[in-house]
Amino acid sequence: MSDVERWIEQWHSRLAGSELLAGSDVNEMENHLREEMEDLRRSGLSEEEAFLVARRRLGDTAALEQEFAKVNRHRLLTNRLWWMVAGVLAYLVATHFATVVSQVSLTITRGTGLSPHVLGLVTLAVQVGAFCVVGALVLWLCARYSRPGVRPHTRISRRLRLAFLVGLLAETLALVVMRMFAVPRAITTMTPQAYGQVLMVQSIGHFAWMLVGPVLLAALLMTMHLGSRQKTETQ
Amino acid sequence: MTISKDLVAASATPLILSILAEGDSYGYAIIKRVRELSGGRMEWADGMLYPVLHRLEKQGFIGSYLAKSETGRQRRYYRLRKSGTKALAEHRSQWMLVHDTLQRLWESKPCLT
Repeated sequence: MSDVERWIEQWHSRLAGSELLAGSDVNEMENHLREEMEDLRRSGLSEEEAFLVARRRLGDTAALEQEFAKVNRHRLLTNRLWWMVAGVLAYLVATHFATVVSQVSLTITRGTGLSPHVLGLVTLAVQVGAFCVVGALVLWLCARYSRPGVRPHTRISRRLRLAFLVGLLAETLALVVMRMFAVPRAITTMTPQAYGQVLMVQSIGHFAWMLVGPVLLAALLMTMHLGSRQKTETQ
Repeated sequence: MTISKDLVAASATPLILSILAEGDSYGYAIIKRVRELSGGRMEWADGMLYPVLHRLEKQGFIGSYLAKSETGRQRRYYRLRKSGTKALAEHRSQWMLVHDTLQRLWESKPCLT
């Protein structure tokens, strides 16, 4: 690939990464850029010069984004919605994964002779740990693949996207298997009272999260909001 | 001569509609036509054309379709629709009114008798 082709590609992906421009908008402008370059080449400019002039004539990216923002307002909204849905999905997957892992840990530990209360605490700790692991993984993926205004899935490879889908399917399957086999087995092999005590301890943990979780998240949202407002004020 | 941003924004719609009234066209050709008509004196940032085209399409003044160019490149062509023709007539009468008014002011000579 020549240098100029690489420059065009960079220019294209910079625009394609914007949450305000649709893919078809960028393709249309790339066509424009190439036609302008052909005309400039015909008038005697080198390929590099033609690219630089044509790119300058099209206007700088920030100004273009601003103009497109006026007509593509719904794109911004769908983009925000995308992030919200992705967040809910990540939360659900993390919760399901944690439940499955916690149930597996109960299957392993229930023969050790520990008291039901301790079993409850152990499985609860495993659940919280698994949730945090998935949460950290999601944050890492976002940090790794996202740039300002760029949705991560536009930048990850097809293979990684496929891996994500397979993972989601496996997680759903594990959830079904757990409900169908692990839970009935736990109920039938332990005494109902002991199983009840395990669930009691777990449910206290869940209740604590129900109380503390929203407060924590609200506090996080508010401090993040203040941070961004201060930033715009100082500009 | 650079034209003020406000005037560029105001004249973009009638310019585009008038060029499309001559026949279907695509982005780069519209920009070239503006350059040619103004003798290169009217320079927009070319990219600004596209948001305006998309807005006009949303308003129903113009339509668009994809077609292959002579070189086999996929181009989005725009064509004027009926409501666009009406909008153009409206724009035209408004611009003529402003033009006439300014013309009278600037061409009036002091009366010496």
